[in-house]
Amino acid sequence: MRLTLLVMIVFAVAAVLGLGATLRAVTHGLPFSGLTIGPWRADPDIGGLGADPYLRAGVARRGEAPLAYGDGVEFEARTDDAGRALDAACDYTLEGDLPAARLWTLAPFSPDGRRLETALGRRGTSSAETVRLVGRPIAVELSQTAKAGDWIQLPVKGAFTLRLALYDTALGTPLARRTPPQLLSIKRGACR
Amino acid sequence: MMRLFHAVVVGLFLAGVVHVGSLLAVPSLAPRGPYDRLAALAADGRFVALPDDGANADLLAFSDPSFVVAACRYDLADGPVTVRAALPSTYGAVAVHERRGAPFYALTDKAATNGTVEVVILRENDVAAAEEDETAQARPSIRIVSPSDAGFVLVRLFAQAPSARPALKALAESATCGRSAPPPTTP
Repeated sequence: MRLTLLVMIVFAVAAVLGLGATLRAVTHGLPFSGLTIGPWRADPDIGGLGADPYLRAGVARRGEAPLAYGDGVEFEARTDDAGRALDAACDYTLEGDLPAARLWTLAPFSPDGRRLETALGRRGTSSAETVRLVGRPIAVELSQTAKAGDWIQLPVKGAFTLRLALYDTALGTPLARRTPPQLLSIKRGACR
Repeated sequence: MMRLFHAVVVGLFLAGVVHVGSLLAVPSLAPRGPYDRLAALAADGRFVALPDDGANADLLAFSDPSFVVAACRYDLADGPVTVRAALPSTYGAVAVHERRGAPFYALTDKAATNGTVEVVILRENDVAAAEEDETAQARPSIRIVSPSDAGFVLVRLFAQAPSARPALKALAESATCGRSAPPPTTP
């Protein structure tokens, strides 16, 4: 009787811990892998067949077609600089300079990767659309209400994820990974 | 007490085995991987652009909204597939993904000759045959070996402004990914 109980405990522990670890790793990624710059995180290895099983499982689970190694590097942010989760109820200011790349794009998504529906219908910004002032860094405003400058409208409510993609850049190469550059800072403004 | 301790140790060990096993199984068991999602486009053997609105707009998760994307699913069971795409100099890329979604080859417009790129995707078994009937050509064709029989190709074109999207969509859909023509039999 006690033996049966022990065997059941063993299998229960194995199933819960093993599957739980898999679920956590696939949905959130490994906490210590990839290239982390402030709130931004990228996994440049995802763009090739050398990707580890964790990255491959994440790709299959999200239903994403990641950027290839020679194509670009995509960074993801789920929090602001202070570590608070991004929320559409708040205003955010993104500011900074970006490393050398042929072009960059920035867009908010729902946490599972769908595009956000807003009244304006503008889904993101890019190096071709943004306005640069001489001697000033790139500045992008995220808010529900209209802002001066490069403004991306946020939906009425909910958490969101930011994706910043740099195309044709040396950022993913092993050498560049050792001296990571600065990316945009994410500062939270007023919340309603 | 000792037996409980043993049970926990064995349980932790088995948990590791379960974790590794389930992790490796995720790509083949995931029902909504990128390849499966593209089935809704009916893009087998031809390029179809992902729409900007509607249910199919979010087929590929985290798809960059500044890009126009066209997809084509290929199957190498019947022979090699040739992909030919026009890439404008604003920025365009052709990316080849294997069945589970991992990209294994990409070309940008920098590699284009006269604005187009041409890539032949083949199975490992077909490489020798393809190299045998190598004849003098105007430009050398790029051959890449696919790790899986099935897979998909994405043509991704950068749109500088929303007004550029309709034209880019037509351009992306004009790309072809049909079966490679059988080599002409030399007398």
